[in-house]
Amino acid sequence: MRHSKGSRSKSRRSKSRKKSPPKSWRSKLLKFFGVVFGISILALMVGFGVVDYTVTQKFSGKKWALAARVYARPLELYVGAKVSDEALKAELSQLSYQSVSYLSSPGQVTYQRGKTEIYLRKRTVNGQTYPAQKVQVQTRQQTIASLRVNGKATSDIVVVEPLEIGAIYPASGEDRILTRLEDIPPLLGETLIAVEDKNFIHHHGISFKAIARAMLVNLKSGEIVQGGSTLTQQLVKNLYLSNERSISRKVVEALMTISLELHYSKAEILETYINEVYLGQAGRRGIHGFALASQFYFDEPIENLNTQQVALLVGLVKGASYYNPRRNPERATSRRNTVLEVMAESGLISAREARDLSKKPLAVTKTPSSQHAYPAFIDLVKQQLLRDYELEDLQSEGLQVHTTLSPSLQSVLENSLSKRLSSLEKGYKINRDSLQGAGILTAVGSAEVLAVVGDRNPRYKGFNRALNAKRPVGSLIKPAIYLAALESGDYSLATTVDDSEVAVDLGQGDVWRPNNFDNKDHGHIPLYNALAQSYNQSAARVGMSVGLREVFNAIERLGIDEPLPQVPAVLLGAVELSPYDMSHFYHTIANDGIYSPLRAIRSVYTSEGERLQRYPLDASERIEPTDAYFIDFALQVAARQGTAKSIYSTISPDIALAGKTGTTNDQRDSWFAGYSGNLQGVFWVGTDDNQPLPLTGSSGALRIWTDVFSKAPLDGINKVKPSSVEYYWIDSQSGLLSKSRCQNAVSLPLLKGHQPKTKSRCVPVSGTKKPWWQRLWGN
Amino acid sequence: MLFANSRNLFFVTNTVTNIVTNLNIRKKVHSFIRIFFVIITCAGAVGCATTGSNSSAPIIPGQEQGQATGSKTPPPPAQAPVNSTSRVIDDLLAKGKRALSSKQPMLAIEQAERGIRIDRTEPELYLLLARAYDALGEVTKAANFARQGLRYVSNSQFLLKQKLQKFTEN
Repeated sequence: MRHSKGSRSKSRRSKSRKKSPPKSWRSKLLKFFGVVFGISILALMVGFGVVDYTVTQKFSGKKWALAARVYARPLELYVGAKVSDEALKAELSQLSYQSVSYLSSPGQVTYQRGKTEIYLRKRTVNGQTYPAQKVQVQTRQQTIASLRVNGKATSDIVVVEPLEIGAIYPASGEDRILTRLEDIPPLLGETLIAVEDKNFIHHHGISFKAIARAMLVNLKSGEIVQGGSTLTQQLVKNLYLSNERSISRKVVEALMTISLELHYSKAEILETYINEVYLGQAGRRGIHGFALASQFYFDEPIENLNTQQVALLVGLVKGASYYNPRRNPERATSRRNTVLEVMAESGLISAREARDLSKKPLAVTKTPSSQHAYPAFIDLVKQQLLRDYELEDLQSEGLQVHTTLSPSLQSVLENSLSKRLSSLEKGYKINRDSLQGAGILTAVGSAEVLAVVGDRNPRYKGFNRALNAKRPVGSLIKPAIYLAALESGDYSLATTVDDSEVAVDLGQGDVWRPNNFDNKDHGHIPLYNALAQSYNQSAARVGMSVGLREVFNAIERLGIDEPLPQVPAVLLGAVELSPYDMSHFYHTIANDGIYSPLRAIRSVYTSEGERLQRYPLDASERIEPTDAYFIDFALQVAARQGTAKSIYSTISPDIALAGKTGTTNDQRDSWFAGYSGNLQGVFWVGTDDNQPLPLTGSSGALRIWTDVFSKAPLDGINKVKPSSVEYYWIDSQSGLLSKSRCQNAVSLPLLKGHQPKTKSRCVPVSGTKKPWWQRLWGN
Repeated sequence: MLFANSRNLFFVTNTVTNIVTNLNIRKKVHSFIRIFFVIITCAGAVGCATTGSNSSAPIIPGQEQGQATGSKTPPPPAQAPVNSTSRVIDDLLAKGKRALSSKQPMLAIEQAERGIRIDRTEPELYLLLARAYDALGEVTKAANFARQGLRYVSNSQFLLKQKLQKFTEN
């Protein structure tokens, strides 16, 4: 049996050996295909696994690098707030509030003389959400006299949404504003589906019907006029794939589409599409998503889009560059009207509505909104942000940066600076466009930077002179000399100082002989007047007498924390500092001797609206209250009667102001730093190649300062007199004690009991008859 | 000198008044004489002064003298605001105090800073900052803000002055 079995099997083996070649070939082939098939399935499964992982990883995680968005300070309305009708109008216009005759929906405003009614939008400011509100503002003398919210008088602060003023974009250049599906106008989503993918709700990612229809249309027309891609496929292409056209890419695209449809709802896919889609270009910046496109083309938030605007934006999906409504308005109009027809066919609007709307103009803004128009201020914001954040995070995390910029003051600053530079060039016959300028406005007390201009063209993104132009500051430094003198105890505002010729031995045979600007000696003059008139000889003499070390110490305490050349010439401003540096210096004086680092940022929030960081006010006492009071007094005299007295030919004398001019050697730099009770401004005028100019601090920078301050809402300086200070009548010639109604008598604040003990001879003021009661009671 | 004059003249005023009191026309003359002497007192005090004004706004040289120095600019009058922001400041102070008592010093700081943006010379706002920073354990900051607040306290605000001074003693 065994044998027979063995012989049978042998014979079978021999048989099979005989027939084996064809059988083995087939089996091998089968095996081969089996293996190939197996491997293919395995590869497909692995491939799908990889694709699936890739799709879900990106889709469930962070899909995009989001730009940090930068906002101005929100306008706050309250009774007593200093807001002019013009400023209010300008700010609301920048926020795209529509001027109408009757308020019917949020985002509208009506203007009457002295009365403004605003329908504020729903808004979230500082983590607090406010509903849409009707607000009535009545102003008198540039101040809010009454405020009503929804018809009721209120003493609360009404907060207006902040203006977006800039962004820090991802390295990719893609920019978008993320929107949730529930915040998108339903008509937009419906139109998008009607135009791009009618069957979106029902298919599973790939629509063979759509492919067949597209093929048919393309065959008929002889060119590719219609795509068969569903919204999901388009999203996959945009989100995960390159523009490459190959079979393998098509396979990957299909797998990804299926994966996306398997894992995510239609709502999630549509929301992502609406945020992802490319809709325009602004230089290097790609405009993605409907929310940003709405702002980019219409300067409107997405929720305010009307039907024809929706039609245009949906039409742009087909080719944002080809149908660019600014460059190719005819093409764009035709495309919009096609979309309107589709909307009518789909029952979204009536045929008549489509017809009527197709006659409407595109109404896109001429240029993209000016929200990225503050390069100098944004520079400062970036500088301060980079101390706490990595650039990569700023470019990708979608942070919301709330700053201190006042759009209305920024606009006043920009206009004043560029207009005045042109008129100076004309008036002084300076080469056209050769003058440059920079200016910074700061809120006194809160130390918030309100406006910055770093170039006469405020949109120029290059060299920022306000922050980075280090120029000799001239007489702007002088308050530090006199502060050091007052602090020494050897001087008071009444002390007479010698303004005759001065020579300072620098050693090795070198002698420094500074001259007055008018090349005259002014003899002995009281200290306050030496500062107010900005005499150089007396400043150099006082500085050397007090000691350079003391003067440098005062400069440092006033807010200049960089090393300075230890030479006497610094006394007359031979030290290079920027307008921003000098803003710190003068803010300390304006702020009653309290140093506060200037701030451009209030808070930083995450993209979800959670606060990451606040930038609080900081303060340190740098000058005694009495000395701060004295320096402020002398600077007020400079504004009333000194080198800056031209201020009051424009600004009402009822407003107490203070300031200091600065002019450097050969009049290469013109400076002015000055303040009111609430606002401080530092200005520089010069040329980039450091040319001599026919301008002084008074005839150059001061004029821009005056232009700005005459338009800004001002509080006059109103210092609280320290209890140890008393006003005394002093003879301004001799510095001795005088009496009222005596010639040359001036009322000066001095430390109580530190008045001069010797009385000057009183020569009654000529031409004035003493009142009878004074004659009766004697002097 | 001003006060010395006032005291002497007040004595004279009273003496004259006492004499006139004995007459029948007492009531009418009494008030007239009082007003007359008060005016004389003030005028005399001004005429005799070697001290200038005690107002918080400085008298700019040349302006007080007017014709004497040939200045053309009038002195800056005290500014009367159209509408005071005091109610807004009071509201912010109240909110800040509530935040402090509910142990939210950061919120109190925000309210105080908001107030400083509106009226930077309101000393109560600096007291609120000092208290809030003190609650956070930042005593140096508390002292700094208290010192700043002290610069804006008027002579009549004794209690406020005391409260602020407490933080500067740390």
